[in-house]
Formats: sequence, structure tokens, C-alpha cells
Amino acid sequence: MGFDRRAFLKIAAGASAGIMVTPVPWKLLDDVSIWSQNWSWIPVPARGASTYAEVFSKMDPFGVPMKIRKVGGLPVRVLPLPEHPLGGGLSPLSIAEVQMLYSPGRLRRPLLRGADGKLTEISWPQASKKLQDELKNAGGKAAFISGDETSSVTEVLSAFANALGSEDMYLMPSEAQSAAKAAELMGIDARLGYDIEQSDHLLAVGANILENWGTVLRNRRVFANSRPHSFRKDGGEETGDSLSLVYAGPVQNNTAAVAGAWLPVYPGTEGILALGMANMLIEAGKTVAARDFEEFKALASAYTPEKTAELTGVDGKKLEAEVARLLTAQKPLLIVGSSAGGGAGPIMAGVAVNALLGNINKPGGLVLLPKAAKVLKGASDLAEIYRNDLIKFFEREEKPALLLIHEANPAFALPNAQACAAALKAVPFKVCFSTFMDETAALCDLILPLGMGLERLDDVETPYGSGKIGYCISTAVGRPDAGVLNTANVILNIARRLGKDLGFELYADILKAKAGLYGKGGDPLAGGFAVESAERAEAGAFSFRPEVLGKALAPDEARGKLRLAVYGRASLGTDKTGIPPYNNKTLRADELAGSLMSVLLNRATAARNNLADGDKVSLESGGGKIVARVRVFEGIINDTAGVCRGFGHTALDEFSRDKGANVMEVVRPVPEPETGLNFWAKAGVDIKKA
Amino acid sequence: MEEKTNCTESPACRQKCAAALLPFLGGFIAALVLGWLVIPSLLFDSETQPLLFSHATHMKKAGAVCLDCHSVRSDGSFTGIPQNDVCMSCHNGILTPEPGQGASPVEKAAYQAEKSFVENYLNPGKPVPWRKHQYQPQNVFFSHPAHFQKCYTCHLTMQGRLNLGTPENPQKLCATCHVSLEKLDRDAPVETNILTGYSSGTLKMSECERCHANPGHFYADGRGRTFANNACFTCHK
Repeated sequence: MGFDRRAFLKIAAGASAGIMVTPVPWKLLDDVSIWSQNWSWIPVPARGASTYAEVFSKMDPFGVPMKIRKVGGLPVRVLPLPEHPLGGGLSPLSIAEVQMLYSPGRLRRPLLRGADGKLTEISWPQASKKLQDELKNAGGKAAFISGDETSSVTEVLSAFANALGSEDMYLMPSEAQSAAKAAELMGIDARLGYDIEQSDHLLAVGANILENWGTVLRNRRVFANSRPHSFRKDGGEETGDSLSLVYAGPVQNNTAAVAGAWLPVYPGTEGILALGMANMLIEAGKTVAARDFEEFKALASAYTPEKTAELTGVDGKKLEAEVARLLTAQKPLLIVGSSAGGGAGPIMAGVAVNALLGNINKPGGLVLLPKAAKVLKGASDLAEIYRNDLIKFFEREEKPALLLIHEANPAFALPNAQACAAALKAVPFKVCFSTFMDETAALCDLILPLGMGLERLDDVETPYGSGKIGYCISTAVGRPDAGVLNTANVILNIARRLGKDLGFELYADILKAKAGLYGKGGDPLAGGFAVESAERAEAGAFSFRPEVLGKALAPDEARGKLRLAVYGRASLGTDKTGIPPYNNKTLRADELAGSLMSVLLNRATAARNNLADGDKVSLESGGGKIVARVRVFEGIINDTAGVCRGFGHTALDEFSRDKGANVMEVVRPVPEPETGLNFWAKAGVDIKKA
Repeated sequence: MEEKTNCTESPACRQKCAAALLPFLGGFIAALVLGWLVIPSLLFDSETQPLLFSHATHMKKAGAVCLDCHSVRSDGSFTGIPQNDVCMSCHNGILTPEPGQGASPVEKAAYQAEKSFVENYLNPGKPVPWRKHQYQPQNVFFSHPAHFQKCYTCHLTMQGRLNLGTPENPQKLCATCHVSLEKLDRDAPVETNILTGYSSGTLKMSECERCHANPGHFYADGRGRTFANNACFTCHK
């Protein structure tokens, strides 16, 4: 028998039949299906042992210490740091920090705008030389904006501005700025803090303390710890709340949702509510040994319960009940605030109420914190920088020759955002240090990539709202190949080349010197450096300043058909970061449907304006216009439109862009009488069907 | 036209038919041998561990339980293979007595392995490059603590039906998914699939479904829901 074609076919047939009763075809089919999913572009975490680093979030401005788990030297996970003085859980922004290291909106290389308007990549030495030349030419006509009030980078920029002879050093408007102005006007040579840990009754007026006001994680931890019965699974006796919380504000936000009571008040009337309460406390016999107490008493007496109720919209009986609770609590505390733009007047009224409650510098009360330590001799104090109003700067006709912006997004975040963007465009040379290609970076002539908090050495000094002095140094734990530099080192280098001696050559040396001032041994740059101090400042010649308060809080005419309540949501990130990709999942359909966001109206307000749930409407004010969809929601006070801030980015990445509209386009700032600040808590809008 | 004959009646014809089937049978048998014995071994690269490690010695002689070395971190993540600092809690030097002349090859090998570990890795502070038997596939989540907690929620009280040990000594629960190493004097070589890059010990989805889709886990509501949630998003990213 020979081996012919027929024999070959028979062998092949036998082999085919045989192979089918072995695992090979099925195993190969399975393996190929897995192999086909092994694309090289799928990010795969490194393999290796886990290490940990303690850092402080520089992205989240609300005080978030955190622990980073690294594998193979790369960060893979963000964890809470509950043992830290400001620690607790994590915020929706901080938890996304590792993910955002890889954001498509990240800037990786310096970009220079050419004569044709197009951006081209340049090297860091080229960028540094260009910036040096421009700064040299601009000299005292250079202006500086910092978006990070807790970092020593602001001190470096301030020292450099002063060395150049520039008076234009600004911080982005913030609650800390309003509080600094309030303290200054009342003769308090210190920073305001709130000892909520030891308080037993907290009335938060406008301050969304569990979402976006002050040291949010710490606030949440205190709130959670004050409710031990929520953890009693052993059947033990419930001990009750050790801290009662009441929230007063125009929108039923997350703080209102968990507070014992929510008092709806019109936006921008928080100060009037505090003044009305001050009057009732004085009526109840409370007094303060201050030189102008009698004048203040006279001013407050005009805000009777009836008038206060009428002006603020709060129910008169509820107001009386809340004042009674303040009077009966052992350690009552009042916090007046806003997310930004509330002005100094309401905070002054809040300080006045706390003074009447006798809790200043007392456990559980309003505490006065010493000013931030400073190591650069040529730098201005934070309080001095806060005096410069950024909104006035943008309204000024004479533009600086150069504007340097560090980690701020004024083209998106400031009220009347489009006008600010136009003013920004008019500056001959604009340079920004930015992590992401945000709205401001998109307008700049030189864009310098700034590392995220995880990628840089930086510090955090006492975030606003804290009850204690705190100083933390955060070391780089992120990607070493990110192509980013630290703003402070770039500026220190340029200063040296321009012959301006700032006293330090490296940012690391500044932080070491500062750590020494806060008094803790060891290597502050070794990681996890954190100092806490319960030191208090003296109140000094405290005065109520009724002549300022009276004008700053005076009711004025309506600025539109409806009052505008701008509220924030932590999951929408910040003006600088946009919406973290993770958090897109948290947006509900009634907040954002397609590209249309919601405007909150209660049923009565909607009916008065002939609107119904789901109607597409336009909100207009002073030439600005945004479009939204009506969401009828009973968690908002009458005659008020509630709009969430953080939507409407036109730059950044796909996770933030083209989602809703930027409410700051219809917010118009006005000068706050007597305080010298611009504020926008009393903004109004006209509403109509679109 | 040729008349058809019945082949079974003719021995020559039967012989002819059998001969005709031989190539088919040859191919069939060759394929079986290749498919069962040869090809599967060609699909995997085999690597031995850098050191001889005996789970049996650690568990039987030293009385260790799984969680003594493979623990859960405070953040809830699983430590996997222990690092040197865990080993140092016992191995502050060579613990095995030096084997005498009459020692068995196993005893000699164990001594040499521990000596090598202490001198080459522990003292210089160098991590041992252990090869992992099971890397978690990238497309799924898996939490060891969640399984410890969830499985024991019921199984602690129903040991007669399926004894999974105790939270303090979860060896039987571990062995539900991992190879039981209690009796192994030498760790098996790590076999890595040349196509997929996964090791032969990597769990397939069917292994997960032994519990997640087990009818014994179904609620009595007849809706096919299980105590071990079997929704896609429970495991898949």
C-alpha cells in the first residue's frame, strides 16, 4: 500500500476528528479570544510591591489630606488619611486625582503662540528665556494672579512682583478674601477660624460646610463623629447628637439635606439674617464691651424680627426658635459664608453675632488664628494681597504689559466671565502656569505646564475655615516623566537671572525654612510633613463698625425678575480642573440632560413666571445669557432661580466640555459699599422661555 | 455492470477495508496524542520559583495559617505575596538546623533554600522575585476582604453543608479558588500562556460562577437572583 493522495486525506480526516476530542481547539479558541483583547494601548497598572505616601491635595481647595498607594513607583489609588487633623474621608475631586494624572486635558509641553495665532510646542529652556525677556521688558507693568491662597508659590510671586516694582499682585476672589477684609474692618489683626470640633450647636448661614465651604472633610468628620448612635450596632443606648446643625440658605443643598433644620433665605440676605439675630440677642440681654457697641445696637434695632423675616424670606417663628437655640446652647457657633462672592459685610455680621454669644477665642467658638508665616522678606502679607480686588483690575482700562497667572482660571471663574475673558485678551502678553488646557490657558500667549499636586513639591498653610493653624508639605509622588516644572522654581530662576534677589534659589529651601518657623524637627521634605497648632491671636481693639455694616448690608433694589442663587457641587470639580471623568457618572438626568443643564425653580415661582417643569428657558442679565431647562424643585426659596456652578466649560477635556452653561456669564458683580470689594451674592436674572 | 458483493463475506475484502481505515486511525491517534500530551505543554512557558518554598513546612510544622503571611491591608487591598518584612517576623536568621550526614535530600534542600533566602535576600534587604501563580485579569474587580466577609456571612453557620473554615483560619475558603498548597513541599512551576500572558492558575469566569451563579445560592423568590450578586458590574470593569 503506497502513501497516495487518498491516504493523506484519510490521515487528515482522522487527525481532524481526533483533534476535536482533545482540549486543543477549545483552548486555542479561548486563548485567542483573550489574546485579541491584549491591545498595547490599554493601560495596565504596573506590577510590584505597594508603597504609600502621605500628601495633601492641591487640586481640592477644601483641605484634603490623603494617602497615595503606589505600585512600581507609580500612584494607583487615593486613600483617606483619617489620622490627619483635617482628615476624614475623601472628596469627589481628590479621589479622582490619580485618574486625572492621565487626563487628555493635561498640558505636557510649554506652548508659545506664534504671530499666526497658533500654539507651537517649545522646550522648557526656550519658554523660560521667553518669559524672562517678557518680564524684563514689562518690569513694573507686569501683573500677577495666583489661584492658590494656601501655597508659598503665592509668596514667591508676591516677592517677585514687589522686586519688579509691580503693585498688581492678586489672588482669585475667595471666601478667605472676604473674611480677611471683614477682620481688617473690625480691627482684628488675625485670621478667622471656626472651632466646630468643640461646638455643640452650629448655625451655618450660607456656608455649605459639608460640600464646598471651609475644610469640608474635617467638617464632615466632626458632623459624623457627633452622631455616635449612627454606629451603634451593638444595641447600646443611643447617646444623641453632640452637635446640632442648622443650615440657612436659598437652596436645599447637601448640608441642608442632613442638617436638623433648613431655613430658606433669599440669596444675598445672609448678613441681614445675622443682623436680625444680633438684634434679638441684644434684646435678650447680650452685650459686648466694644467702643461702638451702642451704635451697633442702634443699627441692629432696625432689623426687627418682622423686618428681618420680610427681607430674608425666613419664617419669623423659625427665626425666633433659632435664636432661642443659640441662647440655650452651651457652645453655640454661627458661621456666615458663601462659596465665593458673598462680600465682607455678612461675615462682619456673623462675627458680631459670635461676639454677642461670647464665643470669640473660646472652645467651640469663633477663633482668631495668627497670620501665616512668611519667609521671603520682599513678599507682602496675604492680608495685603487680599486688599487688591481682581475684578477691579479686569475692569481697569489701562492694561498691564504682561499678566502671569498661576493655577487660576479667571476667564471661566470670575463673574461676568465673558467680559473678563475679553479683558484678558486685551493684555499684550499673557502667560499661565496651568495643569490643564482650561479657558484661561486657551487665551494665553505662553502656556507652561504645571504639575498636578501629586507631581510637585508644594505646601498648604491653614485652609480657610480651619479652627487651628496647620502647615503641611506635599512631596511629588506622581509620574517623573510628566514634563512639568514648579512655578516657584521657574520664577526664582528668572529672578536670579534678572538680578532680583528673593533670598532663596530653590522652592524646596523656602519650604524647609517655613517648616522651621512652624517648629517641627526632622526632614520636612521626606514626605507626610504636617504640623498643627492651637495657637490663638488676640482680638485687639475689636469694633463692630456699624457705619460700614449698615451700608454694606443695606437692602437694595432687585437686579432682575428673579434672584439668582449660585450653588456648587463638589463632584463638579473646581474652575481649574473641570469635571473629573469619574464624576460624570454622578450627574443625574435632572441636572444635565444632553448639553442642557437645569435651573431650579419652586412650583410657585415657576407658576408666577408661566413656566413648567422641562421648559427650555434663557436666563439673562446685563448682556449675558445662558440657556437651561426648568426643574421644578421645592428645595429652593421663592422668586429665586438656582443654578449650579461648574458647568459650561468650553476648554479642558471631553468630560467637562459642552456640558450646560457657565452661570458666571450672567452673574454681575457690584461694589460692596464701604468694604472696597466687589461681590455678587445679590445677583439677579430675567427668565423667559427660549 | 459489475455485480455488487457483500464485503463481509470475503476475507480479502475485509482486509482491504481494514487497511483502508488505517491512515484514518493513525491520524486520529496522532492527533489525540498531540492534543492531549504535546500541544498543551507547548502553549505554556514554565518558570520555577527562585527559591524552594514549602507551604507544607510553614503550615504543618510552623502552624501558620494563610492570613499570617497573605494579609489584608488597612485600605482593604490584599497583600498577595508577602514581602521580606513579613518573613522577618520569624526568620531573623536561619531557623532550620544544619542537616547532618544522614539527612534526606528534602531536608538538605530545605536548609539550602532557607540559607539562600537569608543570605541573598533577607540580609541585603532585596525582595525575592517570586513568580505569581495568579494575576487578576485587568477586566475585573476582585476584593479578598469582600469575599471573606460575604462568604462567611452564611457559611459559618452552615458548616455541615459546606465547611469553609473560619475567618481566623480561612484555609478552606482560600482553597476554593487557589490550589491547596498545604501538602506541597515544593511550589509548582509557574506556567504562563504564550498567547494570553496569563498564568495557568488564573481563574476563568466559570470558576467565579461556581458560586456567583450557583443555584444553591438562589433566593427562594424564583427570580434567579443569588446571594452572591451575579450582575455583570459586580465583577467586570
